[in-house]
Amino acid sequence: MLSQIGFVGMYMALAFSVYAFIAFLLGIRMKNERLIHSAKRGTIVVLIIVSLSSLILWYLLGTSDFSVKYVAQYTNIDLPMFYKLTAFWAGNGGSLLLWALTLSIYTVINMYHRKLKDNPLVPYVGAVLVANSIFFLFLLVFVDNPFALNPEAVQDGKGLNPLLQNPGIMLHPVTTYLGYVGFVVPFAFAMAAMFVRDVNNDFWIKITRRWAVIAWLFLTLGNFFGGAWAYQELGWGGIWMWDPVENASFMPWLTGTAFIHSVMIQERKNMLKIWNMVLIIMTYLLSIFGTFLVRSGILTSVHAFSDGTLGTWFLVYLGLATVISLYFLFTRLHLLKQDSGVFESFLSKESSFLVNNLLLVGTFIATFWGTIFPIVSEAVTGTKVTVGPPFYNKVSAPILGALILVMGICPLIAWQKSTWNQLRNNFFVPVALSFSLFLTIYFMGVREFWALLIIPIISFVIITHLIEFIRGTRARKKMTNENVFLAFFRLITRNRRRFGGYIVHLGIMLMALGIMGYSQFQEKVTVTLGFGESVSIGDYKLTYENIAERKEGKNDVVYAELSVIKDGEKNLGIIKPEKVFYSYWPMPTTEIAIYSTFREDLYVVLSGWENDGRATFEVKVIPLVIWIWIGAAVVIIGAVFAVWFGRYGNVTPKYTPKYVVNSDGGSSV
Amino acid sequence: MKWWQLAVLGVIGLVVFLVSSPGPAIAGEHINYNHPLFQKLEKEFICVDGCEMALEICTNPTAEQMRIDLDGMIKKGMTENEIISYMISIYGEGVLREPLKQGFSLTAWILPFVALLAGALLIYLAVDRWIYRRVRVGEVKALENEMEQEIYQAMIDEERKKYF
Repeated sequence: MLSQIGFVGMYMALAFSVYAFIAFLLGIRMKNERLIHSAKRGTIVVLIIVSLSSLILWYLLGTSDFSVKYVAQYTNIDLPMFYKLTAFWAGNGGSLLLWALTLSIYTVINMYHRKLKDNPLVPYVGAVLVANSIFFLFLLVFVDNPFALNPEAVQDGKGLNPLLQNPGIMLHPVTTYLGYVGFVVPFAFAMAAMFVRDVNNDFWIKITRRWAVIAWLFLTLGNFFGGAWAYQELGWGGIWMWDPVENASFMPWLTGTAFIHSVMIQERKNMLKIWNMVLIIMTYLLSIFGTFLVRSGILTSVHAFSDGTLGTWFLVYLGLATVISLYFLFTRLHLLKQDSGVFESFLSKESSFLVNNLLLVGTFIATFWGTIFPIVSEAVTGTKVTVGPPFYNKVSAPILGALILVMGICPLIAWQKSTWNQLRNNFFVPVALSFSLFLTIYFMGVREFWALLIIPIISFVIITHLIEFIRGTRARKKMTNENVFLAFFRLITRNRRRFGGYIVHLGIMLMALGIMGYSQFQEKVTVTLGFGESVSIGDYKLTYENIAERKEGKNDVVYAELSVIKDGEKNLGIIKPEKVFYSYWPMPTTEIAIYSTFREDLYVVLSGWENDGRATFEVKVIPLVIWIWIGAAVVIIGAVFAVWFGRYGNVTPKYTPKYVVNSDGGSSV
Repeated sequence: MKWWQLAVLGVIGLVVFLVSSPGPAIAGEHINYNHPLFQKLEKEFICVDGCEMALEICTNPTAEQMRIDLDGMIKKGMTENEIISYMISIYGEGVLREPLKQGFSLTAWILPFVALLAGALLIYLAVDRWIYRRVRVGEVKALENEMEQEIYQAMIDEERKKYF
C-alpha cells in the first residue's frame, strides 16, 4: 500500500512540477502575479509530495519491505538500521529521488527568500529550477522508479555491498548531490539575468555567492568523504585514484572554484561578466555530465553503477541544457560586454585572479581530456587505452602545483596596481623563510624532486596568509586602538569573506602537505610470516602473534594479531587487520588496521593465510596522512565562516574606474 | 523449506567452507613483492580482466597471474623497458595505466598544455587591451596599504548599517 502511495506520489510530483513550470511561463508572459504566486505554491506542493515519498521509501527500507524491488536489491534483514536507511541512495532510483528532494528544498527556499520578495528575477529562477525538477521526476516516473514492486516474492534481499558499509561512503553521495544541486541555483539566477537582459548589475552574483560557496563546500566534502572511504576500505593506502567517477565530481569542483574567485572581479571591477557566465554554465553542465558518466557505463570505472537507458536520458538532457545555455549566452553577449571596467596594470590582484582561473580551468581541461581520452582513442584508432594516475600525476599535478604557488602570491598583490617596492617588501620575509626551509630539508637528506619543490611552496603560502592576518590585526589596532585580541577578532569577523577564504586556503595547504607525504614517501613491504616472526618497516617492528576467527551476526571475521614496537622500545600494543566474510556476499572484504599519528600512519592489511597459520601481510608506513583530514576540517571551518549569515558577510570595496569605456572600444572621461 | 531453514543451512555451509578451506590463500608465495622494480611495475599496469583496477590493488586471479609473470620476467633479468614492451605486445597499449607518448596517444599529453598556453596568451592579450583602452585621467596610485583601506571600508559599512 505504502509503495503504491510513493509510486503515485512520483506521478503527482511530476504533474505539479509541469504545472508550476507552465504557470511561471504564462505568468511571466501575461505579467500575471496570481499565476506566478500559484506557480510558487506549486513548488511547495512538489516539495511536500517528494518529501512524503522520501519518508515512505525510508520507511520501506527500514522495515525491510521486500515487496519493493529497490529494497530487495540493496538491503537484507541483517543489515544494520543505519545502512538500511542510507541504502536510500545506494542505487539509481533512490539517488535520483534524493536529487529531486534536494532540488525541491532549494527551489522553495529561493522562491520564498525574504531578500527576493517581489524580485523580477524570481519567476525566471523558478522556471529554471522547476525545469530541472521535471527532468529528474520524469526519470523517476518513467525510467527508474524506486517504488516499483518486486516481480517475485522474496524472503530476504540481496544486501548492501559490504564495501559500502562505511559511514564515509554513505555520506559521500549526499554531500556530493548537495554540491551538484547547489550549483543549479547560481546557474538558474545567471539564466534568469540573461532572460530579463539584466546582466549589468551584479545582483545575481551577490544573491548567489553564498549558494556557490555552500555548493562548493558540499562538493569538497563529497570528494573528501570519498577519499576517506577509499583510504579505509580499499587497502591501497591512497585517497585519490583519478578514476572517471572521481573525476566526475572533481571537474565541477574546479570550475566552481574558478567561479567563486572570478566573481570577485565582477563585484569589484564590473568585469569578466561573460567569463563568469561561462564558468557557472560549465559548472552546472559538468554536474550533469558527472551524473551521466556515473550512470552511462560509457567509461569503465571501479565504482560506477551504469544503467544504459538512464545514461541516454542524461545525455539528451545535457545536450538540451548546453544548447539553451549557449543560445542565451550568445544572444546576450552584446549586453555582457557593456559597462566593462578596465585593468590598471599587469601587476595587480586582478591579473593574479586571472592566472588562478587559467590554472583551475587548465586542470579541468587536463582532467576532462584524460577522462574522455579512452573513448576518443578507441573511436579514432580502434585501440583502447587506459588513462590512470601516472598520466594525471604528470599532467594535472604540475598545474595544481603552480596553482598552489599563485595562492601564495595573490594575497601579496594589491588591487588595481602594485609597485615593485611593495612587492619586494611583501615577498621578502615569506620567500626568505621558505628558501631557508628548502635548504633545511635538502641538508636533512630529502632528495625527492616533488617534495623539494612543494614543501617550500606550501610553507610560502602558509606564511603569506599568516602575514595577512598579522598585518590586518596591526592595521586595525592602529586605527581603533583596540587591544590585539579584540582587533584580531573584529578583523576576521567583520571581513569574513576575505579571512574565511584565507582559512580555506590554509586548510587546502594542510591537505596538500598530506597528499605530498603519502604520494612521495610511502614505504611498503609485503611479507609472509609464521607465528612469532617479525617484520620491520620504518621505525616499526611488527611481530605476528596469532590468527583467529569470530562471529559478528551472520558474518565471519578472520583477524590476525600483531604486536607493534616503535623505535625499538615503545610498545604500541596489538593491532588487528581483518577479513570479513559476509553470509550474502561472494567476496570477503578487507578491514585495515591503522595506527595513526601526526607524523605518519602505520597501515596493515591481512592479505591471506594458510592452514598452518602462516599469513601474508601488506604493511605500509604512510607519512602525513592525518594532515589531509585536519586540512579538510580547516577548509570546512573556513567556508562556513565565510558564508555565515549576519551583518558582516557582504563587505566588498569597489574599485570603480575614473573613466568610461565606450562600447565601441573608444574612451571618454 | 522455510526461509529460516534456508538461512541456517547457508550459515552451516559457510562455516564448513571456512573451516575446510584456508580462506584467501597466500597467492604467489614465491613472488618477490618487495623488489623495487616489481613495486614500480605493479603501479604501471592494470589488471586485464576488465575490472579496470590497478595491478597493485587488484586481487582477482588474473591480476595474480600477471604478478607471477612480472616476477618471472624480473628474475630472468629483463629490464623495465623490456618488460613493458613485452606486456604491450601481449595485451596491447591498454595494459598500461597511461597512454604511450607516440602516435595518436601523444595528443593526450600535449593537448592540456597547448590549451594552457593558448589560455595564457588570451589572458595576456585581453589584459593588454584593457590597459590600453582606458583613458588616463591621472595615473592610478598604488594603494600604500590596501589592508587599511579595506578595514576602513568595513568600518564605514558597519556604521552605515547601524544607523541607516
